[in-house]
Amino acid sequence: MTRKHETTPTAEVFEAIAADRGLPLDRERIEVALEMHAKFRHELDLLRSVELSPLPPYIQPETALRWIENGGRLP
Amino acid sequence: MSDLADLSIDELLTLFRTREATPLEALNACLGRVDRLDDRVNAVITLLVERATAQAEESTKRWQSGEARPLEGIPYGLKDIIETAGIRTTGGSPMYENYIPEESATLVDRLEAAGAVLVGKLQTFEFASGSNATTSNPWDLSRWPAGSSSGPAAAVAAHEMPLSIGTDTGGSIAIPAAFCGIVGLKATYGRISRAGVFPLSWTLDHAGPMTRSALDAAHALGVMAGYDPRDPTCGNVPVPDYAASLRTDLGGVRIGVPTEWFFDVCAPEVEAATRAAIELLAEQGATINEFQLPSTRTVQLHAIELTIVYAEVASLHEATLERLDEYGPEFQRLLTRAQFTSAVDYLKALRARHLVQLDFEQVFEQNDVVVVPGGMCVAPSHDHLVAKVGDEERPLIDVISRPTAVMDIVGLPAITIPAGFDDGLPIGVQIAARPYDELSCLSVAHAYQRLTDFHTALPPIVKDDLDAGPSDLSVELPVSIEKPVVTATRDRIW
Repeated sequence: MTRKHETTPTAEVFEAIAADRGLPLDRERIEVALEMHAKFRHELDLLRSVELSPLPPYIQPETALRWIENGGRLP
Repeated sequence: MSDLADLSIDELLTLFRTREATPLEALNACLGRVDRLDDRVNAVITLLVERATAQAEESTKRWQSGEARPLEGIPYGLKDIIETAGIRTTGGSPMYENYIPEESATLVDRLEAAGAVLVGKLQTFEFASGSNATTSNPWDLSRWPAGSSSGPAAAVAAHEMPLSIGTDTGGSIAIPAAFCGIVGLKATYGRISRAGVFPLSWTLDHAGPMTRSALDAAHALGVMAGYDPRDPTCGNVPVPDYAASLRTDLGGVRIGVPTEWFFDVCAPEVEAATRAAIELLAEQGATINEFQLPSTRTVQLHAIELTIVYAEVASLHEATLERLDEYGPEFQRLLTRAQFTSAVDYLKALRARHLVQLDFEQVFEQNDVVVVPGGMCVAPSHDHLVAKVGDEERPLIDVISRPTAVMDIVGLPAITIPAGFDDGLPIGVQIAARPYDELSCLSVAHAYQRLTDFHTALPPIVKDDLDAGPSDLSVELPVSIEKPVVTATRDRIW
């Protein structure tokens, strides 16, 4: 299921995030970030809609590494 | 007529062993080819004439005294994000144009300890991302070689050297190998140390050899692979003698062919070449099984790739964000967008990787390898960076890594080999296997190359050079050449 997003970030939202982090990004760069974000938004929403269980055996980022090290299976 | 620059690693080692040629002669042939072609191809950013000559002289003596090492006297080049002690390593970035590391990357130490001769550092996109127009595709100089291992692919395709080393985060070995008609092996995540390699995205970065045959890739991998305490992600897994262990008999080999994802967005010519390669392998005794990847219906692979890259790029370059203007134009765009990646999205992407891995775990219960497209189209023009799929043009950034980034996300070894042409431009197919089973990838690729000659076809620029007659080995080159870093693009993908 895909979560519905009623709004997309505006320049003001990104400017607020940048200000909070003290990022040296002027309005022109904020517009670039927004443009790239808009192109990617649909795919990002699909990723966000993936449900991953909070219960064991839950997947951690390290799970992927263990799987590789063990030749394509979990130990 | 060919010269020593046109020979494979395996052929050169044989000639050195039988004393029909020396490493110094092979190096001079490669330098001659660089001298004659690289003003048009521009694969090399730093040429190390004096240093390489000294190494080749030492190698020549070692062959004479019976002390030759596994790659003794083999000329090679390094993507310029791989650190070399005392030799400029630019990362393809104006910010590191004059950076001289004190230590070499572990993979460089291993190649040097095996006797390989470093001809030069090779062009790359800035920090292994973007679309620089710096280097041209030897098959058509108006075309893009892809990247970010642009120089390594072009140098091997132009027969300037038989071996180069590239890196791959979303397809940076596989796609240039496909577009330039050479072999590119992206080893398993953790198989080859990345200590001393500029990171783009540490979770997805891989290294590997680029050559003109699978056998040559096996020679190089045998030297480069293995545990390294300097790289915390490096696996402690035994390294076989790949070159000596290659199979040529395909009897009983189980090949998986996808029914979804890989052919969904793919140029018809590439799909036809991939299916023809699978058919040829089946005729030699391989069994073919179709497989599905259910996770790709719900998990956005492109979103996993980009979210991880964005987050890790932003983290890696945090200290230099104040100097954003000093990066090239495409990396500035990437780094700017990267700032707006949430921690929750990043962790979702890292966790979702394993869902795709679980699909492949099922696939490899039924199969030894999978065969899929390498590039999903052929090389586009420098001036119009789009993926042509039938009559449709797609933005490159949306689709170019479709068949390749999945291998980085899952961490599988994958070899790309030439498997055809579309209007004179190379087509590549990928052969992937379960983690740490590079030997199966190499064996199937080697068996295929014993049956086909796509990998021995010559780009027009090389054919013209050979037609011009015997090369002049007395060419005078300066002791070294250092070109400026150029990040200019004629069209952009970010």
